[in-house]
Amino acid sequence: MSEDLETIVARTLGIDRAAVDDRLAREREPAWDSFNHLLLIAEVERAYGIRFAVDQPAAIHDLPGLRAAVAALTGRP
Amino acid sequence: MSPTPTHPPDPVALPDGPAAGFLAYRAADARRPAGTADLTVELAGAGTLRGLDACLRVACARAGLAVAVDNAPYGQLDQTVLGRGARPGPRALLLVWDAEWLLGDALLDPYAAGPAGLAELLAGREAHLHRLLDAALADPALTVLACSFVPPAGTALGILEWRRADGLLAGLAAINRRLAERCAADPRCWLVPAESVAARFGLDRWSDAALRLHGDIRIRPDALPWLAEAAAGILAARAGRVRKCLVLDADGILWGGVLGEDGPDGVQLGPDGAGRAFQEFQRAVLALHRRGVILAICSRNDPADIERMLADHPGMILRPDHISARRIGWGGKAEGVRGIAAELNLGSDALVFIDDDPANRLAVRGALPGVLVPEPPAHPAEYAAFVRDAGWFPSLQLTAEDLAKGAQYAAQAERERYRAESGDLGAFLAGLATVVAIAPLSPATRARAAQLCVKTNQFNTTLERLDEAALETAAAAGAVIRTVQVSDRFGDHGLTGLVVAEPGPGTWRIRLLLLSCRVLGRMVEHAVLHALAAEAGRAGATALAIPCVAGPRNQPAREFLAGLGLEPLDGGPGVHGPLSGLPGCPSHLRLELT
Repeated sequence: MSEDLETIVARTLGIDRAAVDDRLAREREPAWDSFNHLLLIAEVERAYGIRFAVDQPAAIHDLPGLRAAVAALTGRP
Repeated sequence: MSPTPTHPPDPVALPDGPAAGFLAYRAADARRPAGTADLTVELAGAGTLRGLDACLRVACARAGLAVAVDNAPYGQLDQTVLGRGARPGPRALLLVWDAEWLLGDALLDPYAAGPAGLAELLAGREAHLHRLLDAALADPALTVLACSFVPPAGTALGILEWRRADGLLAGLAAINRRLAERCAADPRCWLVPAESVAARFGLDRWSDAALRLHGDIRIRPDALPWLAEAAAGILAARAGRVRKCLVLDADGILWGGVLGEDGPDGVQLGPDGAGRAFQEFQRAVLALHRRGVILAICSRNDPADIERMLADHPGMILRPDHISARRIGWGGKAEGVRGIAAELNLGSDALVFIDDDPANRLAVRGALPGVLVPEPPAHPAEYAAFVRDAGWFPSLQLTAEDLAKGAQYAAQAERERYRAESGDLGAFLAGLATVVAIAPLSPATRARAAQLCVKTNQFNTTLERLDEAALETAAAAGAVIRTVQVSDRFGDHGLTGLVVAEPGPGTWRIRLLLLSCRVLGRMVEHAVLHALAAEAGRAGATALAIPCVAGPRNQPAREFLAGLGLEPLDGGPGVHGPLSGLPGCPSHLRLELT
């Protein structure tokens, strides 16, 4: 995997990499709308070779939540 | 590949994944410089079409067309089409309907109501989609692009599905066929072959189950650039942004290996092994040439070596007569491509350049942003399908002139040799024995006349892209429409000019005067204007008004008008003046009037 999670988030949402930190949340970032959320999930699945459970994406609301979901599936913190 | 605003990502070179390639297009869209749109495209479709707008802007920009896109409200295909009314043009409507929109739950359970129920459903929905087309086409300023329906890979019937003439897949195929027939019969209605685009992209990848489930995204975002490219080709051709010439590198493209090092017997080219890939590529290129695409070679090689390959190598499919311009030597590729454009009298935006060396591609992109420089596939085995399927040369119709273009460019090479032998321009022009035949527009010449309206940019006074219907309408309204056919001792250039004049009391207004760049430089335009002025005089007129629009490339037309010595018209590049002030027919041309 060549990109870290923060870079994938920045590229998918079309925002500055510097703006991606643990305060990033769907309710505060206009670019993280429902469409881009689906693209983000697809990109993260592709990058990490994982597949989220069908109801899991809806429960991810911020970067820490996304990171935890990825860690749970990859087994890497 | 690192995309730039002028060279956005190439669909074939995008990374794989449901969103990855789409994100590259969206990023290219964000970097696109702002500008005035040539055309507004309205979207109407089933499901979520978000993201198609960005892809369409980028794909159209690749084709040389700036578009604004009005997004579709979600799930309101019918309302969008039926409620839009007539709007000022130029506008296009892209209908992205799909099998799910057409059939709903019946797509998964088509035989719930028996074969008769399915037939009734298909007939009813097909009638509905044609009613939507009727409603859209009621706006006379609108071009309509309708997607064909992408069929499911199978049904619950399994292999029996293909034994049923009344089955779902047979029904969808029939609907697609009738939709294509309707589009073929209407110059303002075009089929976007979504079915074929999906097959190329990969039918099993066309839709992503998770994205469809969570967001009603029925076309996977990565497929949107491909669909957008298909639509952009049609829109660009309609707007006259037509590419005409394919410029080919030689080593690594026409054959494998390095001619200068491996020699003609050492390069890979022939019916077997690795050489077959290059032979198939040449065959696909020749097929483009047969439908009117001009071919050129730009190669770092010894010119004599390349000529020997073209003339003598048994594996070559392309031969000297197929190649209209060559830049072979040790100079830069950008310089070579520029020289080819100049020699063929084409703008750089009429060229597609194929080279296997990334440095050469980068150099040409940097120096000549108008040239389309696609990323060739990594393996030569894919070259033939690459050139066949790319859609770089969309054309709205195929005319006799297109089919004869190969011979015409071969004659042009003879002409150039004669020019070199003639010494001075006067002797060359006189020796050509050029005949300019002017005739009324007829049903037989209407398609070619409309094609000239679309393809001609340099000698074109008003850049009006009149299609066949518009020409018919103009004629019915009393316009005098004359076609121009030029021939000389070396051959027939075919129908290469058009004039549309609107007779008025005392003054004839020339709505459009155009000539193909193939016949420029021999004063044919003087002969055409002389003939038209004579006709206007016989009809009782005493003056001509020739409006002109300053376009990015019609300098030759503006210079011609400026050189007539008439008065400026409305402060623009157009002119007006008495018939008596116009120049006569040049003595080296013979006029034939029908």
